[in-house]
Amino acid sequence: MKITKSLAITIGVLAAHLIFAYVLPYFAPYDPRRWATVPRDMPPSTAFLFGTTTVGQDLFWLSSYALRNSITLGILTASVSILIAFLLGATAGFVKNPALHNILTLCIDSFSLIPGLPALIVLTYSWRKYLSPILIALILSIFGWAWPSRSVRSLILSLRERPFTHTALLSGYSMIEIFFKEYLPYIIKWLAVSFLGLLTWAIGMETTIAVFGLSTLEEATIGSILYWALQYQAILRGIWWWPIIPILLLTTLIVTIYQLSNMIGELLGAR
Amino acid sequence: MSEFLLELKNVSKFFGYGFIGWIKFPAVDSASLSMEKEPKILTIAGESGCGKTTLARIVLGLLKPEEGTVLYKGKRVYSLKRGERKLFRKEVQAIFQDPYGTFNPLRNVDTYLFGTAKHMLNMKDEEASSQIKETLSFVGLTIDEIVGKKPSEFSGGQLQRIAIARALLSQPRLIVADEPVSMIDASSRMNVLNIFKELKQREISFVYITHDLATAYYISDEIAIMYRGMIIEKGPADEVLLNQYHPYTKALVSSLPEHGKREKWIKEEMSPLGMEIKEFLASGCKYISTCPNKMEKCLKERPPMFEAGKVKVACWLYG
Amino acid sequence: MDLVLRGLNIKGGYEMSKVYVDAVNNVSLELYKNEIFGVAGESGCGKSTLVKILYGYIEPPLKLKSGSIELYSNDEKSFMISSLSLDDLRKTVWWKHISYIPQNSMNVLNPTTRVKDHFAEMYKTYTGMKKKEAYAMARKYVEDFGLPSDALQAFPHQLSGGMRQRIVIAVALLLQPAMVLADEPTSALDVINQRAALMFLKKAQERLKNTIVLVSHDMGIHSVLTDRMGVMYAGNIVEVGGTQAIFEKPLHPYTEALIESLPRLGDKSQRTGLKGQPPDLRQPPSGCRFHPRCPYSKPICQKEEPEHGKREKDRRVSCWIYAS
Repeated sequence: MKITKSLAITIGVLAAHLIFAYVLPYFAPYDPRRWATVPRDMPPSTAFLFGTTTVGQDLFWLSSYALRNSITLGILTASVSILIAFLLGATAGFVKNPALHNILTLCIDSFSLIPGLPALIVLTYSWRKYLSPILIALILSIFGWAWPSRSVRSLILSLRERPFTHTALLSGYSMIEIFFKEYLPYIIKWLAVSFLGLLTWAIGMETTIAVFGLSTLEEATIGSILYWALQYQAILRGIWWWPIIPILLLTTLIVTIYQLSNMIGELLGAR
Repeated sequence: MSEFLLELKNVSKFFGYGFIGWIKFPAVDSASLSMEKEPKILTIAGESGCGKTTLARIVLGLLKPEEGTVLYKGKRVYSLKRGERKLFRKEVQAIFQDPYGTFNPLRNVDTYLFGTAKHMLNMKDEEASSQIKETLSFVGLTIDEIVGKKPSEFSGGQLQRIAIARALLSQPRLIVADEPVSMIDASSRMNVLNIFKELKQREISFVYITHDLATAYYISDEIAIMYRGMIIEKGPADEVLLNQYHPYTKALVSSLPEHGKREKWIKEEMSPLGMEIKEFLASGCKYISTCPNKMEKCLKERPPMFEAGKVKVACWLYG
Repeated sequence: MDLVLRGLNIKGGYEMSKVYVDAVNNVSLELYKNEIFGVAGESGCGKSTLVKILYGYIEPPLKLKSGSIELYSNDEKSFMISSLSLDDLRKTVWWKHISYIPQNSMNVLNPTTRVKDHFAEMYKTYTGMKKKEAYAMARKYVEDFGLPSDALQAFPHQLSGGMRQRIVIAVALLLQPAMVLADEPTSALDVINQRAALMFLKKAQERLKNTIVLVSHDMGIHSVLTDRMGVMYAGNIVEVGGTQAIFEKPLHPYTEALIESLPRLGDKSQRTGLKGQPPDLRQPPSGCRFHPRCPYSKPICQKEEPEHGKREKDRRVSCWIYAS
């Protein structure tokens, strides 16, 4: 009973975020990214629900655009990372050739040891001219896949040692059948939880590099709003809503996804 | 054609140990064994970590040894052709220790039964289910009791009987049973072991892996005792277990807690075993740190298998 | 014979949100000075739960529903274990008067602490000894027990499993408690190391003349080590008596089946096991809990629980066969 109640709250909050991000932009009365469309520095009021920025953007519509872009970027990163993680991890877990196995393992381990943030800053800085949300998602994926891939690999290796694998072999199942029928349920559980983890990680990462000015600043993301708020010294000038509102949106989103992944983990683990 | 059903010649399997596996230690150390075609129960006995489970997996064709050959009906198990391999899988089956680990907790147990009937006997659903019914009734279960159920819905004893039924379905010639009763309550253990005895009458041979010498004595015809990866004594079960030739076998039997042995068991001097890994890597006899009969020679040279009556013993006392 | 512990009508089990597992059902027992008392029974019969309750180690979901446990210490004090809080037990009773060796206990030693510090820590905490003195005492104690004193300098993982188990036993006996509860102390060990550890326990008990409760599923161990024993089935003690007497002539049908099913070296006669499974203790069977598996079951067995009645001297059996 307790679980379903908190699950309902979590799903409700998440749905609110998704509607805000994916439905509302269609009703925007004007392109919220453009400057000087509304009066500057208006605090939140009935006219401007989230207030306006120093460059004359309506923060309500702008945040809605930004949240959409941030979530999309997160989903894209998580999907690409999970795909690579699954393919390489499963291959590394299954190949018989010891040399190939060692090369794959080495490759996965090296990527998982690269410190993400510094490398990201270098990459985005050197490619800053070509940056777009899609390119950023792909760059993030370079760093995102290795950890889940490692887990998929070790999950398969440990499943292969479980007696039920031997039972299946002795029942005449082929290794491919065993993979799809016996292992996939375990791997999918794991990937579902990793997916949500990667999603929040990617959104957080994009925000971080954006604050350094290394993201697509003309495109609205949570990070780019924060960047401009910092550039215009919003807090010092008392325009608190400019940075605070996107931070609140980001925090509630990440906490909700985190909650959800915990619940999914618990639900799947309990079986 | 070979006269043996199963033959192991100087089989060794190494595992890595220590920092990224620098030190290779022999989990199974040049083990040789043979089983005649006549149905028999051969026990491989030893304490945990002696390599008996590794040896079982080698026999099953699941773990390739680095050295030595494994022959089933005279053919090398690890270089079988496609068709031969399928026949080997059908004829050599297994029962494992942990009944709850034997089946995937996410799947229904009957899938393994139907899978075996389909793959090994090429049966269609209807034929398969009548075959499964018959096999299950042999172990005292009905098909309605098990269909559509997950492993967690059964007791350990029930699952172990389902595991036996699964192994029997493919009409095997040899069953490797790795500690099949160690996780079952003592009061139901005999029911499982009696099934093995009965199956021997039906032309099925067994390799029974156990640490329990009392159950080994109860069902086996022949026995091999392992210590730190090596087979140190082998021969007819009566002879080995009642007369014990190797000092280690003597220590094992005298440590067995049994009714009627009270005085001896508590009072008689004995020494506990040494550290495992050092003994695995020893170049002489591996039992030297504990052995009451040790000689100079034991430290330097590994004893080969000597004949002592009907038994073969790896001990310099018999050299 | 001096009484050391008296348990009266102990009822306890595991209470979870919706189900109650009736693990110990109306158990009474008396334990005396200078004896090894064995608790036998198969997995899930409640023997570990009983020992936890005797120790007073009751934490949710485990709950003591009713009954009392009274311990009489060496210095002739008595402690009502069943009504003391965990805090009080920790301060005044545990280790000093009663100690507990839990299952898989050879792995309870802190891996980063040398063996000598395990002993010294106990001395320091409970007797207020200084560090140097505590080390000296530890060395003397260990040597007195016939353990190699170089084991003191080692970290637990450097010792073999058998040695670690003996260290755990030595730590439990350090403050000379009146009673030691040992729950399957050797089930993780091989027969040779098991024998070494149990011989060690036996020798220690002979020196200290205290009481040891030894829980084991292995009937063989009871036959060679315990003086008296209780056989548990589905939360009840179905038979209590002298170990040798029980092995020679088991009275309860369950005890009989347990002993009958034991294979022995040199005896190839056909053995049979019990049919069926132990009951689900969330819904224990009515009447005698053994009746669904009992070869001698009578109509009354299904309806009424048999009394734990006295047969011969110090022999008690719960079975309708013996009802007069």
